[in-house]
Amino acid sequence: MIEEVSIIDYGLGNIYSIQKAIDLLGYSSKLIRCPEEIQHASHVVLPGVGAFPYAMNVLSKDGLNEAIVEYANAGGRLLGICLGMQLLFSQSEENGLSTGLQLLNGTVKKFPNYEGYAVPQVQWNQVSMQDRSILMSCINNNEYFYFLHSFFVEPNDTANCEVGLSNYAGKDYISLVESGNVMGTQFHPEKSGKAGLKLINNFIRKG
Amino acid sequence: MINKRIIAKLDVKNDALVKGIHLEGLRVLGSPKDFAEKYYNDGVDEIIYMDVVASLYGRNGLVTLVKETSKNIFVPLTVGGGIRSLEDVKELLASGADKVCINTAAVKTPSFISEIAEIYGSSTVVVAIEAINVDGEFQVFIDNGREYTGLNVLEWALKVESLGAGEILLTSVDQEGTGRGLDYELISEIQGKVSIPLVVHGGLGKMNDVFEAFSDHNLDAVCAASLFHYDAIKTLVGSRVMGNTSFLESKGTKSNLEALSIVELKLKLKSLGVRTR
Repeated sequence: MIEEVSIIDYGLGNIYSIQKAIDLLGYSSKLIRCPEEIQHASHVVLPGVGAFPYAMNVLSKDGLNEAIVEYANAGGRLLGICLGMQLLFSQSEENGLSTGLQLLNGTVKKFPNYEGYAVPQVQWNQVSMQDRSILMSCINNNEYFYFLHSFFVEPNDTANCEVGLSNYAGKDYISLVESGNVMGTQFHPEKSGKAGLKLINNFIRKG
Repeated sequence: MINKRIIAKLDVKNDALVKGIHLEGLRVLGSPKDFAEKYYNDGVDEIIYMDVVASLYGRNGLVTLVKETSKNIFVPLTVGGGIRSLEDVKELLASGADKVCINTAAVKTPSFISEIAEIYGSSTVVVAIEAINVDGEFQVFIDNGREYTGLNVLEWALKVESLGAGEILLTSVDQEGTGRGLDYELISEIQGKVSIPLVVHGGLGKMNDVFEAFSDHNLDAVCAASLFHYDAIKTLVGSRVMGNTSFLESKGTKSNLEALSIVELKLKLKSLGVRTR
């Protein structure tokens, strides 16, 4: 059976490129706009570009937030991309404090001012593996991926989800998370060339 | 650590890749997607599509091209030219673009920068600044370097940053298309004075120009067109190259351009100790 990947379409994130990446890998995809559709999904991608509180507002309006949490708690495979990864966490300090999906423990913070480092981070940065990873299977350690973000996740001690780290503005921050079925990348695999395609394939294939 | 970015800019006019000098005298080179594909396979870090006649029609005409490109090219894609409304932004982002690049609309309605940033995030908004040295002062031009605005480059750069721009694409119209090297007098006007990423464009002709930009001037990102097209037209032979490519070898430009693929460029930069993907 060909795997079908459901992409949450709430108006944010490069959904078109994610769809085309999935097509190229030989799978099918569909866009999800209402909560009822999520429970039938086998793989869900939560994209996201933009501001954290705005995104949470949009998700909450239609009850998508609760549906995503229910789906993940029932063991459904979930991949958050960029802001989508940040939304998996407890809260964010972007434009005041706001609550996230709380699937993982941690706070989203802004990169500090650091001599020689522009914010947002816009570059291909390396991801160094800290632990075994499903997403990075058959991908080189320290492979380059494309990052575009001003905020990063600071996990709580108990978060236990840090799988990949990258370095920017004088600090190591989480660029890849996996906690069982809940996964996320701070970078954009759909914009990271062949390594990114491989990562998306790993998310879909090993299910 | 910062990995230096190498960005290819493809100017598009009515579905064709074009190139001019000082943003003028456009010649057709071929199909933009073929060139973009070559650059993707060569390891380019980002691609910029610029609709250079959009302002004449009052809208960006690249939606179809962006959709086609996004089917098999998976690197960041910035699209500019004629973007006037949030509807335009939405359509391009829904077609596979990651960032939009605005110039004329930003100058005419600066709040447009904030409007995009509030919905799609600062990281989605690139403001292009086209600068010309007018009697010793660098001033901002719009409509592809045709219309004078009276704005000072540094003041405008600081303003777009405060309005929420996520990146600045700084073009020296004086150097653009000439291959004579970057305009460091212009660049030093704003380098280090804005804290958002700065991409410099206009004048890169040789490997050494790129190396200097990264090593001596500590820039993070460079953008080039002719430099890469000059190599690509030698590789993409036959039907995939059309029109009058000979102009790249004329007007004294030839002696300034080194035929160099992105693969070769990156290998050389790495061997010289520059951090790049």
